[in-house]
Amino acid sequence: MALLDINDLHARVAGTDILKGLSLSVNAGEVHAIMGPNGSGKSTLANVLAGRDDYEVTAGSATLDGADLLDMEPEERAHAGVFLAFQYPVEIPGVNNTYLLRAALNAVREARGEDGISAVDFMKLARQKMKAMEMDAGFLNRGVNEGFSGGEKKRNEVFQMSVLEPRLCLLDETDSGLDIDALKVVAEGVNALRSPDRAFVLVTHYQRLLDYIEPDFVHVLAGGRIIRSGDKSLALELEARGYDWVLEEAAA
Amino acid sequence: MNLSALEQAFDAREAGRAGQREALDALLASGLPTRKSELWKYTKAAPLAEFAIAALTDATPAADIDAARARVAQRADTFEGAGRLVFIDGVLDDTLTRLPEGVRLEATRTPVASKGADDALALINAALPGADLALQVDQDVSVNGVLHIVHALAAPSSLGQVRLAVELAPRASLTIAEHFANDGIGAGMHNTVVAVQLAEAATLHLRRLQALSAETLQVTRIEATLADNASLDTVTVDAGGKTVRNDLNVRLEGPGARVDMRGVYLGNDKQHIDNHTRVDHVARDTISREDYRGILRDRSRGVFNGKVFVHKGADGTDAAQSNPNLLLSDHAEIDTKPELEIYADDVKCAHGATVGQIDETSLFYLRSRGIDEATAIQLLTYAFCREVLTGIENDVLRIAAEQLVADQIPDFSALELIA
Repeated sequence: MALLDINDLHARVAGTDILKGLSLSVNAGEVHAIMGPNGSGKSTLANVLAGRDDYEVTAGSATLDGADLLDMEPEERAHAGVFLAFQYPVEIPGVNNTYLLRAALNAVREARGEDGISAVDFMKLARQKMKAMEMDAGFLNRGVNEGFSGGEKKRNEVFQMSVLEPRLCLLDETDSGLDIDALKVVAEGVNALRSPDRAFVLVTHYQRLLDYIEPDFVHVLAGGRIIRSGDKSLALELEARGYDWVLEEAAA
Repeated sequence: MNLSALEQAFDAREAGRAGQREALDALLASGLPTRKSELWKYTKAAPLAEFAIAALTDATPAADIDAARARVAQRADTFEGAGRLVFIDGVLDDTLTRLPEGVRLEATRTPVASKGADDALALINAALPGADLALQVDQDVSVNGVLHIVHALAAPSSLGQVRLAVELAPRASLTIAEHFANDGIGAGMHNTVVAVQLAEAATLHLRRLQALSAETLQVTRIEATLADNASLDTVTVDAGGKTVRNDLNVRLEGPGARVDMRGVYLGNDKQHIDNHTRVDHVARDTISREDYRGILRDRSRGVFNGKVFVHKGADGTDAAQSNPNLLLSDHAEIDTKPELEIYADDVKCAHGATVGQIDETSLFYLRSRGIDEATAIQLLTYAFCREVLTGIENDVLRIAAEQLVADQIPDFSALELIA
């Protein structure tokens, strides 16, 4: 059974149909890149899978380990192992980074039937993971993403992901707004998490990210459906030739 | 209502303090304000006045005063600081009061805050018995630590009437924390007037915390006057009470004077919390900053009225005011009104009042991390007013304020999640 199984998914936002019959199967251990022109539905897919309220699923299904993902609340999806790295991580002054993450980790552990982590052990873990993300430990004392630069916010997303160790990692344009150094750090963070038990769905606009995170599959999303799938060479071809030829072939 | 009870009670006593008879006469002449009065449009003055006047004839038994004294003494540890002033039913309690070094407290013949005495509740404050006290700090004296002022009530019919002048000589500095308590006695009323006079370059930090019972009434008035380069900074936390009315009036009379006013009000059930503030920019190059935040649930009601008056000649005035509100129930209500009157040139005045709900994106972000919805809402509610509390630099006091706020958020146990 695939880890994530999406079948004929339709979704709309504010009355506009965005996803129009999307199907995708992702096995544990795989990295899938979702590419496509602006407005094709890439971010919608990531948000629908994470359970954002603004998106209404009108048809189709999505399962995680066979369980109906679409029937779960966002927090239940997190407990089941879904993690969304936001395209625009939210600043929440007044809610502490450290404590949010510890509460998140304990919620996930509790759902897995494990004991909560002590404050001391958590700090050890957090410091170690932050170091890998080349983040200043001072971030831990601040409000969630409070005053972070765009790049810092993206690092924080991958840092959270590395602490929570989800089964299904959804990255929504995590590469956007990053300079090349930050991109490498983020990519290394993702690569360090690659494992036979875990899968990644990378939503990206640019091939650049895939130079650092090598995907097993590349899909082109256009008009709310996957119109072409291939291996990493497809991304290079898109980089060289643009999307028009794929769109034309799909229309033909 | 009939004010004759007040007059009879007055006549039954000795001649009274300076200004007491005049206040009574003024009150009898003007009567109590109705809802047509702009200042009392949203808050009914009559029930407040009735309670205060009834308390006159309802003397608190001595045993209750002793019990209240014992309760305050028991909690005195939490008031650790430079010193404390304890008022029980509005009377200074000598046994519990400890003045810090550099602070003097004197009875004064000058009526406290005659400036605000055109207001009915201030007139009642001035007409009822009780002493005028003046708290003084000499020039160049910086009082270390916090001076706590505890306003305690002894019985459900108690009225805590305090008239206090706080006078800081040039370059003096002081931090005051006022605690309004009723220690579980059920009801009662506070009616306090504090007149603040800050001489040149003096600094006063004033924190006011209250988590009164749902039956308690509270009326407070601060009349502050600031000379050149003086600075006043207030943080007001209203987490309880049945009807609360705070007036905070500040006159910036010397160039370079600055006031920072911050407040949090949290209404539950049918609570009514009214904050009226007024800043008069009288001198040039004066600064005012204001940030009051409201969280209203159930059938509670908040009122915010922020007036900024820039006088002729007060060029270079820089005033900013903000009043965001979270309405967490369909039946909760906020009446917010910024008022600007500007008679000077070269003035910067900014104001913004908002009324909204919990931010959906933030809520989704927290839930996507595995935080359940109820906890996420509590966290965001708390975070909403957190910024105001960070203005309290004393750790013990800030934690006390944070706890007051957290206690007012139903089932909120995740205080450790805050920044």
